[in-house]
Amino acid sequence: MAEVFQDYESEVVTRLTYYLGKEYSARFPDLQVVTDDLITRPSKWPTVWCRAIQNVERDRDLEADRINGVMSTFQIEVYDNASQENAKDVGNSVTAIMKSMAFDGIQLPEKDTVSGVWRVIGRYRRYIAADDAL
Amino acid sequence: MASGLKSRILYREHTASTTGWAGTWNMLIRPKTLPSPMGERNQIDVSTLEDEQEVTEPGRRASVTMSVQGAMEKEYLDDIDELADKKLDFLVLYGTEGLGSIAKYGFSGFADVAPDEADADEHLTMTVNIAVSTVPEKITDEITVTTTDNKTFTVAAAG
Repeated sequence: MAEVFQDYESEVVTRLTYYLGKEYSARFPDLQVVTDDLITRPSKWPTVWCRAIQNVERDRDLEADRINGVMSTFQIEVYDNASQENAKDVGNSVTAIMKSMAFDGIQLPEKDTVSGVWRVIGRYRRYIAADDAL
Repeated sequence: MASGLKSRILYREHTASTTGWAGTWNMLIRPKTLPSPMGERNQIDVSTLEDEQEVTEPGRRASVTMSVQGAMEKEYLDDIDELADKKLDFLVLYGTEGLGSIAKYGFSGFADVAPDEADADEHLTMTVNIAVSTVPEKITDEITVTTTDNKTFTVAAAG
């Protein structure tokens, strides 16, 4: 049975941490993936902020006593203090990792949040049925 | 009045037993929707040349094939596959407690199953086609239905 409160977030964060670390260990040794409450000026750069924002139940049957599937949505933001290009590069890698888990992406316009901090924002969603693996 | 929740379709291999509908039944599928076991009633034209418009009398209901869609689950798929070409008895239960308090209909027929289209944003589904061979009988007050696991059901003659 799928769960609306199932912890897909930790699985996603584990994969992001592993694959981003592998890809950027030389270029961005301080890169971190966090799930804490959103902060405007992270302590390390680049910072990838990941949060599961909703799981919506889908495909109910007449028995209605279990969850057959959920539409799961994540918001992931990449912050960098050097350039928008850095944030975009890491954001593209995030999208590739999310695609490897079959998530669909929506990339929101990049925004310069505060002076000297660049970020890109992506939302990713996927239908996850009861017996699916990420 | 009740919603369609917990409307169920049960089956057993056909028996010409003297116990009628009584016995052990299993849930056929967890349906997403449950179509009617009965077709529409036709009208017989009894017009004469004297009539200014068509005049009809009630005819009889058409027989139907029920297409019951539900989640594709190996357990149910394998069970229904094994039933192909076997004559079966069916019970349709209406009522949100899942035991047919609103209405119960019984009939005989045949069932077979096929996978539906696979879609990225929905769970896999399959459709059971049930060819309704006999006139569905309304047996709401003639039987009682009980279950302990919502998969296997015991049907007994109402006392």
